Amino acid sequence: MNELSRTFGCFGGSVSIRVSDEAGERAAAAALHRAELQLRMVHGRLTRFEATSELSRLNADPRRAVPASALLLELAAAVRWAGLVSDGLVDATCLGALERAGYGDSRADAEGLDPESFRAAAGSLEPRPASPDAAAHWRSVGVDREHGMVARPPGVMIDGGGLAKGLAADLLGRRLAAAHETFALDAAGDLLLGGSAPRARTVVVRDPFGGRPLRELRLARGALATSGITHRSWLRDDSTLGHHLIDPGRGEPAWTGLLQVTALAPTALEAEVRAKAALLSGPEGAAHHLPDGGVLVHASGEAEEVAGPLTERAVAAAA
Amino acid sequence: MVAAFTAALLASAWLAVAAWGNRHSPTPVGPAKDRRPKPAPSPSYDTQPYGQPPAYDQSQPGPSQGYPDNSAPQSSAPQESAPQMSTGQS
Repeated sequence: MNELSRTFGCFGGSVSIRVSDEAGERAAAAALHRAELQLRMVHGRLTRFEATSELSRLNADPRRAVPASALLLELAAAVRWAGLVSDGLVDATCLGALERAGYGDSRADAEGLDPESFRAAAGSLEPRPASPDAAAHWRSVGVDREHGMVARPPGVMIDGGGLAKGLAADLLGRRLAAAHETFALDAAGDLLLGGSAPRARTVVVRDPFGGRPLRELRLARGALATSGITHRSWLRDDSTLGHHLIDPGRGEPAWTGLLQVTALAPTALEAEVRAKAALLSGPEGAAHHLPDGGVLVHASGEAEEVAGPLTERAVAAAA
Repeated sequence: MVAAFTAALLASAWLAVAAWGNRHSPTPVGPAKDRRPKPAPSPSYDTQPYGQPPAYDQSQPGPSQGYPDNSAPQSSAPQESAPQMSTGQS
């Protein structure tokens, strides 16, 4: 059965969806159309770069408890979950620090620093693991599903970021998995594979500076997410390194000695959280956050594989 | 005597307030049971973990730990090779 594909811009990057359906190509084409609409809807509601999005309205709302759609409730729940499973490292309430670091507006079209400029900016920094914010504002985000309310202290703002992307992929993946033979979703670099009769696919891990692919994996179903600090990097006003992964404890862009982490997990949301937590932990603590395996890229550019249930099988299949 | 006077005063004050409230009600007043305020949202927000994220195709768990077996497609029919994909920073 041939797969049909559709590619479009969303989540600040390129999204690609492939679907095959035993009912034929028309059914697959209709599924792709619905999938694009669904992802665009999720992005439109959960982006912080549009003042009228539901997330931006929540962030600006002076009330402690705010009526919320089912989608925003899911994001709020994901904020708490991410904080819990990452020991407070993946803190989606660090929006103020993120904006102070220079990420107030979308950088979807901005080029990251070239390798030389990046290494020069990072060379003056002492690598150290990130730490959780003692205030742990993510713990204050409450979800009341019965009444459809999200609660948080006014002024605590949420950054949808990768959580929204992972959530959107999982919501779509649940539908595609139930209705189609195969599907493969590439949500701006985060992958979700599956279906009722999934195909084994080769997935390459891209180099953080655009060099040759670093690793090759084989997967039939599951998720991979990659988080890193080179692609969206810039020099701040004081010429220090700026990027979008904040060390919650210091409120500054983290420099842990890792450039990029790819995480495998059963779901896209979990892969997204695991990848960020591993990168923020640094080389020594990264494996703790990769229970299903992954790939680390050190400051030297060297790639290191972290074994896990998914990678072991993936590597064995590729051999 | 004082207690009775006080009770009467409070009762009349309450009736006056209620009458004022009815006049200033922005919506038509329905039966008594409909005028009761709706219960406020529960003050106890969910503080539990997000829970196990949705897993895909749980009906076909892999051979160990419930993870899918990625070594081969689980379909009985052979599958064509799929296009290569890549993961990286966005």
